[in-house]
Amino acid sequence: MEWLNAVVQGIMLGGLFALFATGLSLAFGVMRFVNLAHGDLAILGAFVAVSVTSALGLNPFVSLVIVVPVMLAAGYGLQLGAFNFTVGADPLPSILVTFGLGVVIQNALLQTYSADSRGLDVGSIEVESIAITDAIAVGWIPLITLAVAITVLLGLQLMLSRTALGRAFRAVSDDPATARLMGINDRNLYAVAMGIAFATVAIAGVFLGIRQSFGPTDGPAQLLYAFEAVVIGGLGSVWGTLIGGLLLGVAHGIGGQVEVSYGYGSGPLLGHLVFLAVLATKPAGLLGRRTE
Amino acid sequence: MAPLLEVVDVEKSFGVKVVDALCLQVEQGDALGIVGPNGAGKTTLLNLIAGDLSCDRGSILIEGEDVTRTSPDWRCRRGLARTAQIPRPFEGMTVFENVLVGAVFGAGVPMSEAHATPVAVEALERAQLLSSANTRAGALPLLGRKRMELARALATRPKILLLDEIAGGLTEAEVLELVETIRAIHAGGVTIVWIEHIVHALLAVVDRIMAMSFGIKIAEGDPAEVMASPEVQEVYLGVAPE
Repeated sequence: MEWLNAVVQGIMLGGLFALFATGLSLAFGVMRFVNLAHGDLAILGAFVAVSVTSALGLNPFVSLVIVVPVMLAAGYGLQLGAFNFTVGADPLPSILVTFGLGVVIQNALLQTYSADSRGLDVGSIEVESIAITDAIAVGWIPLITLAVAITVLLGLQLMLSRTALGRAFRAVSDDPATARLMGINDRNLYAVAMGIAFATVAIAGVFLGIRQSFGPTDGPAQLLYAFEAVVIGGLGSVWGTLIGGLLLGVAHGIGGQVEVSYGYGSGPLLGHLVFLAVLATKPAGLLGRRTE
Repeated sequence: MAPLLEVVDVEKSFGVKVVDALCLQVEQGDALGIVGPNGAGKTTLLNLIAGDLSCDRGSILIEGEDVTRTSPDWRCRRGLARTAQIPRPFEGMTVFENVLVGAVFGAGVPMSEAHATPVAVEALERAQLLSSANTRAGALPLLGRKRMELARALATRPKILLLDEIAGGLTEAEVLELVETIRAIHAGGVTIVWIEHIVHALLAVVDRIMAMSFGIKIAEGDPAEVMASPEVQEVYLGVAPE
């Protein structure tokens, strides 16, 4: 029963991983943009929520109403002002620029908020849970996180498959030069995509902050999990991102239980092993398109 | 009134001059053919007009407005459309979705899909591709891909349509079908600038021909006269003048 519990808790954690991975996957899918600052952006989102909650006395959930638009605007602006100069067939410039951005964000956060760990307090719901059986209880926060992750990814998938904006994303993803000939302003579209990526990672950051304490330099660890989720699922695939996140979460859950039961191993270790196994056997990811 | 499209003293060089001090005027309703041997700079000229390449010198005007420094998507929204020599569909989408992209974004302002849908359907009709609307674009045969290039371009509601060797690679029967389609598009009021090696296809549509060689315009005027002129016979058909 404790193993089943490990799987259930892993799925809940996987929701958070999927939420982290969404923006990374979208930016790569639309414009082959690799964002190494993605984890730092999540932490930035969490700190923005810290400021908003303390300044306005809001519940962290409610603070999303402010944090998400702020991050969306930041993503839009950064893409137009900086990232667009790095978009192209070669992903290396984007890696260098976002590596630099990550350093800037970490140090700016250290300057502003000091190195102390913070948390986002949502009250008693943090410790409340639903008992499914005697041995398995699901916390409200992880459940809400998973529900939000699925909603975000479902919304993204519907947007991509059903709307004019989504079609434009698929068009520039396929062939930006031809998309321009169809009258699509690809630079502006990239900025919209980055805005959405920032918005989703801000949500992920706030949920991370509600779930656990965080500090200014925690970004790179989150980036690692996000990357693993994206690679497991398949770069640029929305459902792949969800499945990658959930699988990684389950691996963490089972790995954690292994550690409890046998005294060695750890959640992240098993996660890394699953990641390596997928990379070795299905390099394009479980649902990934084959790369040309 | 300013001509629909004006190319003034345009130059482009990739180490050597590929387009050299070229001037061209296209009036509303024209059907202009461009001929020349491989490497004459025809496709480069089309890329300069469409904005895929930037001019080293000279300027491009659409209805008197200088668009030399503008992006391809801007020019598309000003009424310029082009088809690619090698068709480049968005492979993962259906034919209809491909055309819908042009219809939504190719007009002056983005329009809703509800408004764009009839435009896309009409473009598919004019390109005679409506029956394949729900086919995945990557699965189309060559003639279908060429028609889709046409439909996508038409969906942006162009005033002027640039065709880059659209008949290339087709069988004789397919060429004749496509020629009929292009004639109908021209008759429907779209100005045409068409690069083509298949001269009889060109002659069936255009009312004026420009011949290029090594980036320079060597002749322009009545199609029969241009094709018969000694300069064109020599450089284009490889026949020495007598």
